[in-house]
Amino acid sequence: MQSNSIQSYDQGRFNTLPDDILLSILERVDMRTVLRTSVLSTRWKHLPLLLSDVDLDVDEFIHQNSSMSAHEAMAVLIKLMSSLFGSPQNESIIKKLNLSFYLLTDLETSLKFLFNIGELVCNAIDSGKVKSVELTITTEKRRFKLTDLMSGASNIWIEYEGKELRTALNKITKLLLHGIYVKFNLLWTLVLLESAPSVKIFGVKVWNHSCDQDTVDREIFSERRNDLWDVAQLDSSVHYNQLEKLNFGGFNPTIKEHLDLVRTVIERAPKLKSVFLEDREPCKGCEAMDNPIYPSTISMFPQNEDEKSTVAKQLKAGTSRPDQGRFDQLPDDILLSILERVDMRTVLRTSVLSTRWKHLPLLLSDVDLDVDEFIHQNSSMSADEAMAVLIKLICLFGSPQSESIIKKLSLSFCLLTDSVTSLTYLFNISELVCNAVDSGKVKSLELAITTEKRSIDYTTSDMLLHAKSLVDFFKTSSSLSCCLTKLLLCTARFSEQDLHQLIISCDQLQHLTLYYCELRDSSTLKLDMPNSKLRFVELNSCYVKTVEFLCLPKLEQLYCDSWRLSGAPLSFGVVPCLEELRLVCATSRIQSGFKLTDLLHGTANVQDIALDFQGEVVWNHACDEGTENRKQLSERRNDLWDAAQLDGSIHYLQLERLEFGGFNQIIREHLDFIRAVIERAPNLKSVILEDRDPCEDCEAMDNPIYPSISMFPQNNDEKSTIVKQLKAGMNRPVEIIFC
Amino acid sequence: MATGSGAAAAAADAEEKESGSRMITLTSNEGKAFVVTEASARQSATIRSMVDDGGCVDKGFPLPNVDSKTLARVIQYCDEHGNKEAHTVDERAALAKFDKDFIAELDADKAFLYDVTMAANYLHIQGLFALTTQCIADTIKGKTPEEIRTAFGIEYDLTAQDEEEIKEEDTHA
Repeated sequence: MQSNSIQSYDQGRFNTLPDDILLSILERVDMRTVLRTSVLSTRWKHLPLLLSDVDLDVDEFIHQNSSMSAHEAMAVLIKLMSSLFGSPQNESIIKKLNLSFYLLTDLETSLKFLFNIGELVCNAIDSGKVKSVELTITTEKRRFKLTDLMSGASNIWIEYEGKELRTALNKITKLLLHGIYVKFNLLWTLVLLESAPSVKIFGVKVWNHSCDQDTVDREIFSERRNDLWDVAQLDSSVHYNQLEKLNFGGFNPTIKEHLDLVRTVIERAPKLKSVFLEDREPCKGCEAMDNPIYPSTISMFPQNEDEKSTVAKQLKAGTSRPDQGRFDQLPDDILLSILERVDMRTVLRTSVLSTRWKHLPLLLSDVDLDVDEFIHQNSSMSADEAMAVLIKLICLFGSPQSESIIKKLSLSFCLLTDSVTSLTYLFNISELVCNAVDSGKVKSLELAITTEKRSIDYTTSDMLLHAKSLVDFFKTSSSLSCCLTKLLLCTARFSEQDLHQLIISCDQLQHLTLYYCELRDSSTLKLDMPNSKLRFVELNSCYVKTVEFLCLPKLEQLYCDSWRLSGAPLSFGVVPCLEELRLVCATSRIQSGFKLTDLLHGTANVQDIALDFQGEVVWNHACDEGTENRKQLSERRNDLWDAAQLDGSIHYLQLERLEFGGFNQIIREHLDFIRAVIERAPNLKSVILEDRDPCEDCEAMDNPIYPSISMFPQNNDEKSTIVKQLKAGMNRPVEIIFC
Repeated sequence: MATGSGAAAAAADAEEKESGSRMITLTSNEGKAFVVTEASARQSATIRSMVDDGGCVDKGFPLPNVDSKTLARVIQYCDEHGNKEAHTVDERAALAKFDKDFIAELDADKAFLYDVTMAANYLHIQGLFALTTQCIADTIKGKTPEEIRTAFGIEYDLTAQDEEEIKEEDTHA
């Protein structure tokens, strides 16, 4: 009976549907999905060839983070075109062909592809195979997007034609205006929209590149103000009656013109169903120009749900402008608590606002300086330069001139590959921080010392050098130990004695993280610290035989991730406060297992244990299949843990929440597992489903035609289907949450 | 079932309800009186300490720095956080949703957000203060100085010398 209920979601007899119904189903999915169905069976193999609406978009093949070049994607597109409608033996008719492709940067290839496409399409039209064509021709590098609908416009500037445009644009259903210079008033685009009464889809994309400012390139474009396009000309009684969708690229909610345009369109398009807002595309040229302290190129696109809902409200709230605040009148202490909630780069930027704001940052009681903030993605700043900026800032904040006290100074910096420079910086920091501590300016300190490159790129001798630098740093910085509360060390190979001494010397330490740290002889680290204040310890990817927590009276949380030697990585003596233990590891073949009870010996108060086997349960990385990596992980079948052993009468009475990561709606075992838990846990309140974490290696391996894309439910329809499947036959109010 | 212990528990329950539902009067600077539960009023550390010091619970508390409109909004927050439980996941989620809606509404009226922030600071309502300052912080994140000046209504008063210094610092970095 139980197994019945588990199988209760029915398989469907969809395969028995007639061709025409299957075709109208296929017309409702994207082309990649269509192509994937062609491998289902002999019958499905030919179905895509019978489609009457074909939508081929080169962008579909260049998905995010994919390694496919524009060139390869174009080749795929052409291959598809020839197989879909090129062969005349197929008798079906394509009523509408929607083609979207690129002009490549390489002129020769570009022309070759262009003629290829031209020939294919023309043949298809001549033979009567294709009845109508929609073309969108874009450029590889996203400079300007001109559609052929705007044919005749060799430059993006179009002469004003007034009502005559109407005849030209009368039948157009899709109007895209791309590459509009950011400083323009956008409402002029509506003049074009007015002239095209049949438009269903209207797209606008803003051109905003600081790398382009004041360059010759820019000057070539004439001053683009044309009074004939004036907004005053807009007739507010005109309605865009057919418009269903507005696409807005390069949207920036802090630019009033953007909000105005969207609002105006919403007001005048009674049938408008959706507004798509897109961030501007990242531009390396802009990033390279960026000043690290006052960057101008940060995306203003709403990042989180809160920001999004604010923008949505602004857009729907009619044309009232967002009002200005009087926040400058707030007293210093409130402004400081506001500044404590933003990142350091924003804080630094506020210092140029006015005389009053100039000194505010120096009054902060929590100062967080992180070298990574200055090396942002694609920035041209080297780690060396970023370290120099960081030291300048430590100097500024730590200077005893200002009388304010820094309650907490968090410093995050890196060891550079060049060891001489690295040591110079280290001693520089040591001196500055020790002075600040000695003078009473800084009360407590948090340190995270990372490395310039990724940990795995370092050799053993690099790691020995790192350890030596760190040991020297702590030796010269003896005043730090009295106020250091949090420490992260990374990629260093210590002698047991050195590491032990280092940890013991920091007697105020509450929070310790060791990442990629090794002990020279893979020996045992013994922590016997009756006076220690350590509450949290995390060991990640450490090459240590065992860490013996002989006496850590305050330890509450212990995370141990990816230990690399056999046997139990931890053992416990006196840890009366330990409440949470997290063990995450994929055992390699050379590792032997250990008994959990042995490991837990001596821990009486642990309430939360999380075990992660990195692959045993829901490991779903295509890049991993059949590789060395995969083989190293031992076959994780253990018959003792078999599901047949499960006693159906056992109920998980206390269980309130189930979290399931890497959920895939088409894997039967996932659904079964969740249903089984729901059935047996009468007090279960919520099930949280998460998609698998994105993996670049998987993306790179991806076959463009049958990609292994995420099978996590994407929209509300799919989600409600899953909820229905999971809860079928269940009358308890279990909430299913999709993250 | 032991009736004795049941009755005692009920009595204790009633007593707790009594003290929890004791009413307190807060008066705005316009003289308007607002009657709230003690649990709601205790969200404010300022009022809490006055109540605990055995102050004039019956006479009520005048709040000379808060106007009626602001006080009404602040009380809306305190009622939600003071009178409702936050033990289960669902209850906490409901409260988080309330906070989100509450601050989104305030964010649309920057002048009012200012008043509520000042009141939260004056009344020492920690949660509300964190909520409003976070909201203001979010509006300046990632903005250029010019944009922040506009958002905050800051008058540009830097001298030519200041500008020179800033430029110099820029080139250093």
